Amino acid sequence: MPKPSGRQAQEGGRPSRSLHRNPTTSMARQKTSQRGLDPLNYSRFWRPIRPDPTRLFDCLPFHDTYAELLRNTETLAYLIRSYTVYSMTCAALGHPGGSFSEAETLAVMYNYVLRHNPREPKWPMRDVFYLSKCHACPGLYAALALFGYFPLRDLKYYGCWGSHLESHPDWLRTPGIEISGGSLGQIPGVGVGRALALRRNGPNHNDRMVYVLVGDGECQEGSVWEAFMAAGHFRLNNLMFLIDNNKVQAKGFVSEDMNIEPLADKLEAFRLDVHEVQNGHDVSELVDVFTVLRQMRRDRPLAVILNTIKGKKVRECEYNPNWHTSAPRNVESAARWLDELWEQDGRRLGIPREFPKALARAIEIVPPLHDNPDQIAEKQA
Amino acid sequence: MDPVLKKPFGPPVNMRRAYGEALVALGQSRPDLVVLSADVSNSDHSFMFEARFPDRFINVGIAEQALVDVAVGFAKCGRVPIANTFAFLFATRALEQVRTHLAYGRANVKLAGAYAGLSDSFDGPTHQSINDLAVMRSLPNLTVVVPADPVALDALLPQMCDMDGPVFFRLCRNEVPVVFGEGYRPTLGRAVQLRDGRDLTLIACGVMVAPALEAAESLASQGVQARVVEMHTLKPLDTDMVARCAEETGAIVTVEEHSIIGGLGGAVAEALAAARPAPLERVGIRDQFTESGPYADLLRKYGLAAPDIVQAAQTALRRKENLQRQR
Repeated sequence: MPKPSGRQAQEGGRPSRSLHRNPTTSMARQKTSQRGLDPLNYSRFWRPIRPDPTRLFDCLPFHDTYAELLRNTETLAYLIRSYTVYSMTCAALGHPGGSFSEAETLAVMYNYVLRHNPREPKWPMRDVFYLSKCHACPGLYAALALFGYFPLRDLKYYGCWGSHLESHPDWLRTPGIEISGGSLGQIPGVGVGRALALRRNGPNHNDRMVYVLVGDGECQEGSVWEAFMAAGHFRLNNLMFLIDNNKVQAKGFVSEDMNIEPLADKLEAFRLDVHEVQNGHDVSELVDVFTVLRQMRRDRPLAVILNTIKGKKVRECEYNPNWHTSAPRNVESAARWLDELWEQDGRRLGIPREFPKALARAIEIVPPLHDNPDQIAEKQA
Repeated sequence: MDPVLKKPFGPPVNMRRAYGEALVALGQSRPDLVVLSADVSNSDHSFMFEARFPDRFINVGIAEQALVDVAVGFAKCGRVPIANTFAFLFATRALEQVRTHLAYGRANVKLAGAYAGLSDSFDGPTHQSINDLAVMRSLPNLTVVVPADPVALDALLPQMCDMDGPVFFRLCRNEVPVVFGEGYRPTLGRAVQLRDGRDLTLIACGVMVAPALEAAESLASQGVQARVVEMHTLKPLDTDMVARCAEETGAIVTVEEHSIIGGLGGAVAEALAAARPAPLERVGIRDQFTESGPYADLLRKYGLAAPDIVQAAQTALRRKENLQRQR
């Protein structure tokens, strides 16, 4: 797609301007006392690109804003990963692989695609986002906290007794979570029902969308295909399945455990309009694809296959089935992961070097302790 | 005051047709009602709703998991969906969706389990539903209801849709006698006493209410005064009524078109054990699979006819008397 340019914005007679100040640079200017850095006060690192995320407006005519959108969304993805490391380590629990593979997707959805209102999570005109691969909720919890659905400090109690952040999402307890789940394959069908019901809710709801993020391994569940079949049958053009094609599942590689390929052909045959994202970790490609899809006239449900890497950006986890389920073993290894993330993304995005260190220091492993999954496996063996 | 019971019973009415009519009536008063079916609308007569309100009817095909999921999606949009398939399929194929989204997630979906008990008599054990109540009763937050006849269905269906929460109700496929009169005013969660007696209590649900009443007549001719209670709501169970009947009559017989494990008999046994133990006999299918055959013959063969209830009542009475002698 053609990249929008600053010239277009000028020709349109509208001043080229930022939607708001770049929070990372402004923070750097403040010369914050490094010792006083509170990594759980996110607003000092990042703010949503859209001050009012309930309004869908096109950022693209503003060239510099487009660049800022990308930078801001990449920062969000970086923070999603970092806070995921934080919450999983505090809980000694979690699914890092799937949370890292979906980080950019979540960032683009919440920062650019979805109309939603953190101040009113049940806002009747919102778009609906369902995470069907529910085990990857640490990433979603981080995204919701960064948007202010609940305090970032709550992430410490992910999966803990008395916390509203269940180990798998509970929509009755967590603001911003649309549906409870855990066992795979049960949510795509709910997306079908919701999209069908929205379509029958009248013209006011015509442009509301339902998005369902499905795992590639999850597509081995038969019920997922019941949902795909129904979506195609009902021609639900207000429904989009996002397939996080990270190629790895709990036991091994999807292609070896139970191959789902040729996935695009299968989805096409189920009468979905299939699009592929070559690099699901490239925010700019994701933004462009979603922009095109939003503007496109269509009479079919959409399926977007995101080419991602399980465990992306933590070398130990990448393409490694052993990190499907496992929190970082201890604070030291979490600190290593946080440094690794900063080296790749934080540094270039202008996040202060102190941030990952402060975040690692903020980790408190919250009792009762869950057993290390490796030890559980040994016990079971 | 209008009588609660119709005496004698009214002529048999097709329960499926009654259900179709009840859906249409409810569809008129509730614009938020949506009916979904896994391709069984010709069987359970929800086609009557489809004909009247085509834009509020959805056929998801032969896909019970999608049926429940799609209904959940409608509930999420504030509609009141009634999902329709055979009772055993909710309790088996679609159970995980029922558990996760209805029981755990409290989606406001109503499940209409058609062809319950042995009523799909000619389709055999794979279609007959003898453990659905046990399965559904074990799920937290789920309300479980068994209407006995068309009058009960008309009275209970609107209540099930008025309450905010998931409900499973089961329906007979065949013709059933009309048991209740104009004065029948059931409330969800409250048992209805249909006949008083002091010697023992027959607690029945669904199509077994009629034979239980017949059994009470027959016992009366033997000088035994049997109280008859209709337990249309298995969950939440009216435990006060169970305890009171145990207290006042000293022996209980449960009667259900279901396995004796985990259904009405199981529920009453649990309540008695917790509140006031008393001799309990359970009339139902004795932990076995059934077979194809004419409905009435099957009910007789598997011990679900009035004489079986009388026999169980006599056993319960003997146990009660033995207990009294020991004291």
